[in-house]
Amino acid sequence: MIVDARTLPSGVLIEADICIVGAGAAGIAIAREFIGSPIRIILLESGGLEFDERTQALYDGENTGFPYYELDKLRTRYFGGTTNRWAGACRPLDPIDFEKRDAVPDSGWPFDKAHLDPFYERAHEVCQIGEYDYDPAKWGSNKHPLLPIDGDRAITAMFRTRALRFGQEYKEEIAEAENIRCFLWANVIEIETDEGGESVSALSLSTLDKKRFSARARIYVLATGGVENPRIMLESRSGHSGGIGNRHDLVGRYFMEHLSVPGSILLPSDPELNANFYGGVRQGGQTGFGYLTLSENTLRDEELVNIRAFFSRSSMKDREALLYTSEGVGSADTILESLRSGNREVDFAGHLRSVIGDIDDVAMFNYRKFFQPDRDDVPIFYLYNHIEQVPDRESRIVLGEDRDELGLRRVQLHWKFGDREKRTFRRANQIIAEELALAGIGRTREIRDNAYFDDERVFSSGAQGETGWPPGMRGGWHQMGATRMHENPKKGVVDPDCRVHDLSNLYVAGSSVFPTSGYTNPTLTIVALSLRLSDHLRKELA
Amino acid sequence: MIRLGNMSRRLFVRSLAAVMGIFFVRPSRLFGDTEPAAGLSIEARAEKLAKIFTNRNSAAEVGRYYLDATPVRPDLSELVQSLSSPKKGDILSHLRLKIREDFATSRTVSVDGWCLSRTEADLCAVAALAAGRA
Repeated sequence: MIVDARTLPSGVLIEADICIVGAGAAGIAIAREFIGSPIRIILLESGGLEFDERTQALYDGENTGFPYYELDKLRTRYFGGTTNRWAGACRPLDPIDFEKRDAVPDSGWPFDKAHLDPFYERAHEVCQIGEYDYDPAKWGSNKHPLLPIDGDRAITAMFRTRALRFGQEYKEEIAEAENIRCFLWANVIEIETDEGGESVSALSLSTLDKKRFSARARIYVLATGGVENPRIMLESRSGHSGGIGNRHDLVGRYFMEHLSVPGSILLPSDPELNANFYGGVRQGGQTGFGYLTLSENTLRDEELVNIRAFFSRSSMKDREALLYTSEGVGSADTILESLRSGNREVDFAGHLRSVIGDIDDVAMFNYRKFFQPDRDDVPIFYLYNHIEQVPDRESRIVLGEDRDELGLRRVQLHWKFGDREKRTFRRANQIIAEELALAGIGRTREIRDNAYFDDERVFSSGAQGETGWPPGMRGGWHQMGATRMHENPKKGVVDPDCRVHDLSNLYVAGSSVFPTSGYTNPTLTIVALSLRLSDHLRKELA
Repeated sequence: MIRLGNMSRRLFVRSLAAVMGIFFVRPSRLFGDTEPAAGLSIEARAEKLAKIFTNRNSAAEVGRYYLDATPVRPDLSELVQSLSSPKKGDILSHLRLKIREDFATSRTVSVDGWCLSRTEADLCAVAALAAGRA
């Protein structure tokens, strides 16, 4: 059943066995697991079934660290959450991402990848992305060959894509489930605890028009995303001066993103280079993309964090722009990102003019002429990196003084990272360049500058910091780590079952529990962890 | 990888194209060159090495930028010695093997952002020094 919370009587108490806050990928995945069971579910959604500007504005916040996207443009606050506009990239974390690595402080999960594999397999069904298999050799073919990279230092890996809109796909199921009541337009104002502060007693809720009501359950699950999960916990201060679950000052800390950096341009030795596998392959109704990454031995030996390099074959015009004019790189990216974010405020025409202006640079002529005297067309590949961020206690979400329409304090995001990521970026691009040259595939030129950050309409203000990164670096749209998982309450907000330490009945779902992030898009792992949490809750309630 | 400084991108790409062509585009015309005779002077041996480039001016340009940006500039004798094969034979085969070894062992330099093998860069430096342009 789907209920418009605005129609509820003021002061009403709604009750269930499990109350899930947030109807995004995690919340919907958990709720679905209980369909047909006797367990009663409340699913709370801040927005409605469609985008609403006023609700979306509740996400607004301030960036005080490395320049980052405007926080209200970054996520989507209505039924289905950010799956309403995700790109659909799916891949599990790598085994090394779960390991405690001496060179990466605060790294490691409480379990290994093999433990999560059965849940990844089930997550594949939820995300509707076919068989749980990421072996590129099974996808490669004569038409879509893998690059002949040696494999000792660099390897080909792959991810799958399907941008399943959870809201659209599962709305009917949720609506028809007899044991689920989904309340739209219902915002959590505060998590209330019992007198001893050892368990959650109720959630204080409100609509945007300030109609107040409450939810009570045996178990509560926060599934509101990588920024809102810590925000709600920090805002819930009655009985917990520093916020709920924050006895050790960890809520909001260790915020991580994937560092997204244009790395280099590949000029192939053979203009006919077939890199189709890296541009997307359809197989059995599914789509896969290849990319290059470093072998686990290389990561360990060189003490690097995880990283991948996508191949993007550019159009002829863009190729010249990408190679020669840093402004062109920035403008092309700005256009892509703004399209992805739905940010209509960006001056597309202005950036297109800039890109086209770059195209007039004919400096490639001699190079092109040399390699292929009879051709006008030489393919160029743009190598784009996603880099794991080292967990950093000072990279954090705090609450500022500004308040949203509901009176809740807005977040201040202080995104910070260090030198190991930068060293990884440089060394990995060097290794990949060397392997591409060694295999006779081509030569690369690193991208060392672009004007991405010149566009203040895309980024909100913020100090770049003292990291010395080239300005083309930005986030990968993945907010992780700010309620991290650890067995020790002094080192993590939630335990390995995703239960908040010191609270008997509050759980957290989503990427905010990731202790380390790899380079992989987080949604598949979010869903896998949610299914794992569902199994745990079923046992808890038995 | 050693990282070297900026140069005109247009100029560098023009020069690089010529240099890379030696190793990846039209090497067949160069096979048959043999190791410079040990009895020749350094200058003569450098001249023979520089001749493997179809466009020596381009190679010299790359070499000049490489040398200008190198903290400790090698002299011609050192470069010629380092590029020479210990035994008589096909000099280009020897150099191509060295280039492969460079890439396999990260013996590379970054010139204006391009990843070149150290051997390639040294050959260009020889071309520059042999031409008296460095």
